[in-house]
Amino acid sequence: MKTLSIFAVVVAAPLIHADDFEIPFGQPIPKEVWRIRENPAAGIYDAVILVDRTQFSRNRIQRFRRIRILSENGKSAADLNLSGGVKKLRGRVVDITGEETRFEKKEDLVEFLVSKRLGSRQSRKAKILAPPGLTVDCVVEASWETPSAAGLPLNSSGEEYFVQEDFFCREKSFVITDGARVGDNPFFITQFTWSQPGDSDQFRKTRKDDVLTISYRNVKPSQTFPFGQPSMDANAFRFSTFRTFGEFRRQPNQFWADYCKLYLKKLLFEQPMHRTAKYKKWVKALKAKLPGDPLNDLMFVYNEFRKRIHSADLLSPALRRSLAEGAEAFRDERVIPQKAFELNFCPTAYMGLLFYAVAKDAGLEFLLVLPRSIYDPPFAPNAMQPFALSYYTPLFAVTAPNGSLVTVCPSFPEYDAAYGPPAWQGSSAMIVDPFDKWSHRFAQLPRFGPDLHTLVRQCRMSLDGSGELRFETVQKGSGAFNAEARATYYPLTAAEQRETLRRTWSRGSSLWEITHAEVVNGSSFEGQVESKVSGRRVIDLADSDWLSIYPFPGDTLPIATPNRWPPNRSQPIILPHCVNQVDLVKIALPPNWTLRGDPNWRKSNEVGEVRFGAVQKGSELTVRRDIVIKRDLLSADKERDLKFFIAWMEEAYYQSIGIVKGGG
Amino acid sequence: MSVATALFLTVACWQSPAARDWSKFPDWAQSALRGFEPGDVPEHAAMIRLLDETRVALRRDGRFEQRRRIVQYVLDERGAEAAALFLIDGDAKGAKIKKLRGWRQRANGYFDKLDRDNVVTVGLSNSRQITSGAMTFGFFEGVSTGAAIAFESREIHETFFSANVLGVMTPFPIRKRVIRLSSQGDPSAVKIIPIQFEAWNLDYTLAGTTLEIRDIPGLEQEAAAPDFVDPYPRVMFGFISPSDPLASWDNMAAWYFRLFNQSALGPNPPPAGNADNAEDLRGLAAAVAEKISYRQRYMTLARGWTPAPGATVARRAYGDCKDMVACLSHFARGRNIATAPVLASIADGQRVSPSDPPGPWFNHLIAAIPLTRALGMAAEVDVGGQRYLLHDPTAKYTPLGWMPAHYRGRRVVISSPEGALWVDIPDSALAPESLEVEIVGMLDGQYTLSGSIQIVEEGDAYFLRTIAGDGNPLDVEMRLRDQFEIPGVVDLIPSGQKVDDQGKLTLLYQVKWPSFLRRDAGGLRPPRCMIGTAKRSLDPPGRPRQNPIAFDGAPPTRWRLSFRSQTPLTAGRLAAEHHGEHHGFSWKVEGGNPLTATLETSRKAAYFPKAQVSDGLAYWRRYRQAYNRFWLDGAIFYTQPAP
Repeated sequence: MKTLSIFAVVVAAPLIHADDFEIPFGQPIPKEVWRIRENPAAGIYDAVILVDRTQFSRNRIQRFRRIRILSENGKSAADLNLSGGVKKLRGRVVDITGEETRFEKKEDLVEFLVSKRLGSRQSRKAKILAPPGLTVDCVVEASWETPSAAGLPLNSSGEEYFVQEDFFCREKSFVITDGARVGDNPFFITQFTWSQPGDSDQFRKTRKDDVLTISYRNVKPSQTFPFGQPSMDANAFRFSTFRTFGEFRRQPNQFWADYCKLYLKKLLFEQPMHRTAKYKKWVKALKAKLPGDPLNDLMFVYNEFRKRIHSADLLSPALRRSLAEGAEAFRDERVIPQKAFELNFCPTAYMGLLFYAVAKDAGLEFLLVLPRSIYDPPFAPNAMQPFALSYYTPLFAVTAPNGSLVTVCPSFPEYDAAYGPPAWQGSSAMIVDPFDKWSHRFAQLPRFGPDLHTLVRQCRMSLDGSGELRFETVQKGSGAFNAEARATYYPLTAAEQRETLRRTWSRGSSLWEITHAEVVNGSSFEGQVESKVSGRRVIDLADSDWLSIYPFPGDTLPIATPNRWPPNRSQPIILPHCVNQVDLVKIALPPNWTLRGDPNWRKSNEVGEVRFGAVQKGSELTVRRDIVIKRDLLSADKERDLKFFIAWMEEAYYQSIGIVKGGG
Repeated sequence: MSVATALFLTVACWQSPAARDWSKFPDWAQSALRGFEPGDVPEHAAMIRLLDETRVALRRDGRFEQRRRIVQYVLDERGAEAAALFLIDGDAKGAKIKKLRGWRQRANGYFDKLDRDNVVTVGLSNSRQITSGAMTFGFFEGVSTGAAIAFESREIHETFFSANVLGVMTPFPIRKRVIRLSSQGDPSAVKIIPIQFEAWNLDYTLAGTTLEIRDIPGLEQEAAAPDFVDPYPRVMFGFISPSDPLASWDNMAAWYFRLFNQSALGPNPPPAGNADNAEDLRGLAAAVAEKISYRQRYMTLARGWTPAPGATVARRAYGDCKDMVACLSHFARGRNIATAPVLASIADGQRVSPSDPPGPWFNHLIAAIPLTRALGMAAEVDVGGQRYLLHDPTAKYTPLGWMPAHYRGRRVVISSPEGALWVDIPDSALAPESLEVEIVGMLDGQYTLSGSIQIVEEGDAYFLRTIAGDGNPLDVEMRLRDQFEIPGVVDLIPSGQKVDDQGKLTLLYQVKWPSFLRRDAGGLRPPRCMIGTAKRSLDPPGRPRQNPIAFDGAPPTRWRLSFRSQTPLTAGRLAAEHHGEHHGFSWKVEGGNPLTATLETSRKAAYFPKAQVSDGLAYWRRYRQAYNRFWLDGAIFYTQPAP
């Protein structure tokens, strides 16, 4: 995957106070601004952000925007959703004749209710700026400021500023002073990082009077690409502010070494925790049953652990709610083992800490794997962003005899041992060895192929001479499909599982009357979750000497079929996961009915393969459909292949079988 | 009921409701629950409301005090979500919820009360609609089969009108619905009017100011059910004195004329006369169309009816329909031209008629401009001895002199100082509409089409003209895909766009369409956007249809495919046609390779009220049979002679 951005960092290089900036509000509009015209090929349509400036100082963040409106739709570029303590709002709309309409805070900044909850008696309100006097050919300016603490909005530990917007941006600047870096808490400092385009004409970093300015120029509008990853967009740049540890060393390797020893070890995983007798007894019993090799030991402990301690995500809503108060107690991490073994459950955020204690107390040796979601910006160790990794939901790993890492994921126990959320597969991770002085290394986690994410639906269908069509189907899957089914059904009682399954089918396929629905293994961590459904419908045989029948009742497509694919894709393609989906139906036809035409076909490309086949033997018609996604991480230039694959998938999904009375 | 369903109910509702102990519910809820047996309800019901009581009192301060009590029972899981929820609609400032309580007993007897954390108010604002409107909902979590739930609320509502309307039917049956009115003022002003009750054979009694309706059936979801309220039972109620704006349509129109002009033009507007020059009027309409964007801003209840001053709208450069009419009136006064506000109801709004009880049933405002003489424009009407030009300033791309086609069959009210001037919008006033789509290209061995697609829209039937005028090419493309179900995977590369003098829009795209012909039923089917799917029956299986029938209209449409195929193809049928009273199609295939297929369709809006449902069903059966026969074996291609 190609990425054009590199990360740069500013940390504690001291700058002199320069808190007061000149905001260019109200200056004459340059004549060339009025010559800007729409040019969709260059990404210029609806509006152009001429200037967007964000200035960070110790106690406030100042904003200034100047926008050229070019169309009716472009007027939305001037809307501002403002919340928090907006101060010193000024604004004006200028047309080409120089006529000016000024904003009035009281008239044009409208406050409205977002939500309130009777229990807490707290209201959340927001303000929207509705600029007056907008035309399809005007310039809008606005400046305002909000209070901040050390460069961050109040009560925030980090902010992401996306340089791309819905409209072409001529210049977007971030201006930083030293005052923006230092807060009241000496343990933390504020750090600024930004991505830097490969095209040097688009980026400028300047220092003037001890003020650092980061500027981006001529940034194309953002686009939402299906299966995309905005943070890996070749045209997307980010500017981030976040809190970090002031006392860590500043060289990346040293920083992460400090992070592992001072933060992960001391403050998280090795912090003192109270082990009760109940806990100790259970761990002792566990230890006695260990199979005896590292891989099987880890899998055994994982399976016993997820049966013993319920994850909050796998509890019924009512039970989760009843435990809400108990969940609060986990905030004091010293009592996690005690509380978890009292309540038999643990909030997701603390499952990793608890499993660490259990596994270590059981005598296991393992690696800690701190992943980062594949949907987040790629992990950049040089940025030294301490909270970029999922340290509260770690994987635990051992090295298999073949040298590969085998992981378990106690935070998401719906995944069987050796699986894990696909969002973490294929992404960068930090691997920490707690049994080797908390040493660390970075690695990319492997991504699973189609044979590890299978979905099989087997169906029997019968059509009798009166037109009654009946079916019975059994569905089960592996990998992500099994985890998804378990996450759906595990929190429910058996009756609720049946009803959920029935409801899902009834909603998805209104043609069928669902006569039976049953979930097998829905309440267990053993085996695959199976759903069994039967149904019927009556079709009118009298009216025609041939029929078309959709052969796969209640089927679903393994990936979405997006309706919007913007041109000029600039992001890689990330499909949820690979897939091997097989639908197989055996249809018992009435006497003298036969298959019509030739429904068989097969199409494949780099993304995958779709096959549809039907064969009749006697009165039994067998129809099989295979949808295989072979590759789920693809470069942007493979978008055409993906679109063709989706078209074939839909073709197979909507394909009916023609049967004819009396001959083919 | 199937054996499996019966077994399920036996397990889930292990104790008959009649035998359950309801003593933890308030008395009124106990009364409703006592003696209830699930077997007494219609077979397919997922939930039943045993009691639905609304008491409305007009207070001395002019506000409504509303008390509601409902009791409902979940019969199967489909009804759980609806049963768990209680909604209060209103204005964040003007609706005070004095009390909202809830009680729930599960099938296993577990009892709890509504948690205050489960009462949430959500504002309805967004950047296009800035509003004080809000929705409050109280809800129980984990509701399932066999649960009994009761809610009670007391609300104080600011009112703009002293009348309102309540729908009667819901998707689930209601055993007893009670509406009681009272007033701290003049008792003779209290009005309660059942509407459409006879058509639906509702069992009700109206005694004084109390209406009781019994055993209201659940409203079935059926295809081609009207999306407007007129055919459905509802109750209008109000506190209407003889001097109230709602005492008569004339009162209302005269009142609104004053209200509108005072707000739009101020207390002393300059004098104005009738218009006599079409060019002046075009300039006036263009000024509003160019300067004012549609955007709602309602921060008070009154703003639902009162326009912002015309000068304010001009400054803001945005507003809703009435603001745009206010701005038009403001500009018109500057040119000595008078205007009148015209109350209208569009989209799913009630088709208001003079025989309806007067009420705030309109959802739109347009303008009427009095003329000294006929100016030769289609949207001119004569009423009350005066000629007017009707104009909807929100229809930016409908030229002055025409009305948008969605006014077909609608009636509007010109407000005048003397009263209501009712106008039936004549078909001749409607802007002409049509759509032509032509696809030309080459099919490869996998039936991927490479070629072009041209769309010509006359009028603004599918809002392509509006979107092309307001937005960027991607929005137009998106609209095309949404409207005509062109799959996202089809590459559409813009290669031309123009609007002719008549406002007719032409869009041209280069196209790459994988699986353009898709395998189906042993042949190759053209895309859904052209031939749609097989038509479904409007007869519900095993029971009579409940809803009236309404068919949407659509502009005359022509699809033309012209392609050369790597594998020569033959058509299922070379020609087919059917022309019913409301729907028609004509299919024709010519040539060999290249092959040209043309499908022309017409669809006129039609409405069959309850009393004529059988006629509507019979009509649809004939059309459906004709179309489906064509769809099944006609609208399909084969790689060999058709079987």
